[in-house]
Order: sequence, then structure tokens, then C-alpha cells
Amino acid sequence: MKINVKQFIDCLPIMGKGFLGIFIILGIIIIATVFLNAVTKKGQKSVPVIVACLAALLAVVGAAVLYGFLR
Amino acid sequence: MTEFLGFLFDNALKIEWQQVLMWIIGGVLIFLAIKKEMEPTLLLPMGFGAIIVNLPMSSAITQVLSNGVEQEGILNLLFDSGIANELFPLLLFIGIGAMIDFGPLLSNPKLMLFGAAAQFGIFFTLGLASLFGFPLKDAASISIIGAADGPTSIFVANMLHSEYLGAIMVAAYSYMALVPIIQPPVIKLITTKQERLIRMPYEQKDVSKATKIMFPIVITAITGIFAPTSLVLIAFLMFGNLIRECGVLDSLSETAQKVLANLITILLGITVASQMTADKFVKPQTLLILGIGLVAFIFDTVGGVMFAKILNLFLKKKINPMIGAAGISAFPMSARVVHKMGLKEDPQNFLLMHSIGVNVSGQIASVIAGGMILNIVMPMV
Repeated sequence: MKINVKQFIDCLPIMGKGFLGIFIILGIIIIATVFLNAVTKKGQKSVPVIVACLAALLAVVGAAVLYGFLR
Repeated sequence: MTEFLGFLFDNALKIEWQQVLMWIIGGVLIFLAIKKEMEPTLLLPMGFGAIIVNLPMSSAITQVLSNGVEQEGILNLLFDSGIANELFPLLLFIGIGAMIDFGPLLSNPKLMLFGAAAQFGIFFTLGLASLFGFPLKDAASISIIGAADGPTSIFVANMLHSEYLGAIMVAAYSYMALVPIIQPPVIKLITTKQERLIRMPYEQKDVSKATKIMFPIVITAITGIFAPTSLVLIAFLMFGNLIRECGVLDSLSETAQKVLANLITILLGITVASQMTADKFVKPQTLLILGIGLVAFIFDTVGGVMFAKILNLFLKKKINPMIGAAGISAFPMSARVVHKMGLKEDPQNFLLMHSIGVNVSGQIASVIAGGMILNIVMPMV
């Protein structure tokens, strides 16, 4: 087994993309969970939280649509 | 006379030192399972399996007999029908999903960030394994050991057709069992006493039943869109959780938690052993994989703790950085370890609910990490 520095350097973008990807997906899941909590909360709903979450989720959808156009 | 002795001892003369070494390894696994109670449900069947597959001409695994006829071994049959097609890990995930209460996580969703941070070791190890010259598909499979998530490790290694499946499975399950030994010194090394003493009062927040029911469905949909390769893993995990939370399938939930999980675990452990034959296992690469897997596991712990420390630079209400270490998938061992460490430092510091929340987020994050790895690596190999 030899040390392969080139392969390591080739791997760096994969490492970066993967690690960042997890944060993005879990970020979306966090927003969705906060949204679910706010919408299903008994009593008075927190409208600013619902609106903020919806805006964030729409931004994600918008980013996907934008990517579709740019591709 | 010679003929008679040959009839008795021919097979015994085929014993090789590598096989004897595997018996010892099997014995050690059984010892750890019984004497140290380390993940006994897995290590005991694996240890026993390691012994039976390394007996010369063992009929437990496929052999070509002296007349040239191939006799299929039951463990190979179980492997092909239960692990090679990912059936056992997926069925086990239904049971695990039914066991998990996402309540602490749902009441504080921000905890999921720790689950993400604790996947650092996976990506660090991907680089490390590549540096040691493992081909990308093997490096990616080895890196998942860091998640301490046996089923995901099996799933990823299988999907990438890694030739080190046996070593990867043994490492993943062994390190899951070794959480109470590996994590405390690492956590102590990178935290100060003051940090370990930080108290985190738990505020009970009500989570509606509707949220608990919709959470598994929403998670599955989001993960399916962004990491389709790992959809089945998260879907089976969340299916188990949906059965638990729906409130009308208590009997199925109980069966999934106990009977299904136990049945699959019995078969999983001994079937994994079919990959522990001396010719596949006694290689320098195996030792290297076990070493790299340990590094992955340590750096996952470091990633979670360091993320909490970084957050503390900006937060008024400080977080006990030890809870970051629970962001791995070993559930609930890691949460318990953090809780016990907190109690050891301060008998009034109860970190259990926070660490459980982080721990279940680690379960989700490790599956997503597996999906990310597959998403990126599969088109390249």
C-alpha cells in the first residue's frame, strides 16, 4: 500500500461537497421541522415563524428551479 | 492403519495458521460480547461465525469438493439473499426506526446541526483512505465506518462493490460496541473541565402528535429528493418510526422493535461472518481498515465536540460541548456515554435529553452521509 497524494488531492472536492451537502439537507429538515411544529401547535400560531419557514422552503424550491433553467 | 488415520485426520492437516488466527479473533469477539457485554447481540454471532467459517472445508460456506462439485454453504446463501441485496440492513432499520423516539429532537430541531457536524470523520477518513492508496470505491466504503452505523456501512460497501466488506462490517460493529471505551478519552482530551461542567437545563416543549406523524414522511421526502440513493435506508427507518407514532399499529410497532429486530440481528451477525474467512480477512489491508475506521470514529467525535465549541463562541447561553460527541449513529450508547460523563463531572448536570436528541439526529445524518457519499462517488466508479 503506497501513499497516494494525488488521489488525496482529487478527493478534497468530494469531501467538501459531501460535508457541505449534509449541512444543507439537515438545514432544510430543520426548517421543515420548525414549520411543522409551528403549524401543528395548539393555541395561537406563531405567524412570523410560519412565514419565515415558508419563505426559506420557497427559496430552496426557487434555487432548484433556477438550477433547472441554468442547466 | 495409515488409511484409517487419513480418514480421521486428512481434514485436520488442512488447517492453516491464518485460520487459527481467525479462531482466536472469533474467541476474542465472543469474550468481549459475554464478559464485557459489548454489543453482544452482534459480536457473539460474529465471533461464533468467524470460528465456523474458518474450519477447514467448512460446510457453512461454499466449498468445491474433491469430486469438483460445488456445495453451497448456508452462510453464503444467507449472505446472497440477505446482505448482498441489502435486505437484512433495511429490515433492521424498520426495527430501529420503531425504537426511536424523535421527541427530544423535534422539541429542539437545532440539535440536528450536531448530527451533521459529527459526520466530519467520514469525510476526513475518505481523504485518509485515499491517501493510503485505497481505490475511491473502497475509500468511500471505509469512511462510513466513522458513522458507527452498521447497516449503512453494509449498504454503502455493497452498493460500491467494495472487496473489503468483511473488514468494514467487523470494524463498524466493533466500534459501535466500543463507544464507551473510545469516546470518553477523546472528549476529555478536547474539552476543558469548565466546558464539561456547563449545565444545560432541559425545557420540556410539547410536540404535537401531528408533527410526530408527519416528521418521518417529510424527512423521507426531503432525503429522497436530495440523496435518492439512500432513500431506501431513510425510508425504512422512518417507516418503522411511522408505525410507532401513528398510534394505531401498536402491535406491529412492538413486533418491529422486538421480534423483527432480534430475528434480523441473529441472522445478520452470523451472516456477516461469512465474509470473515482467513483468505479475505488476514491481510495487511484489514489491519489498515480497522485503524482508519478508528480514526474515522475519533474524528466524528471531534467534529461534533468542536462544532459545539465553535457555536459557544457566538452563543450567550453556552452549550456543553460534550453533547456534540453524541452526533454519531451509535444509538443510544453515545447519548448514555455523554450523560454519564456529565454526571461524573457534576452529579446535578443532566445531559441525557439533549444528548439523546443529538444522538437520534446522528442516526438521520449518518444515513444522509451514506447517501451523499453514494451520490458523489457512484458516478465516478
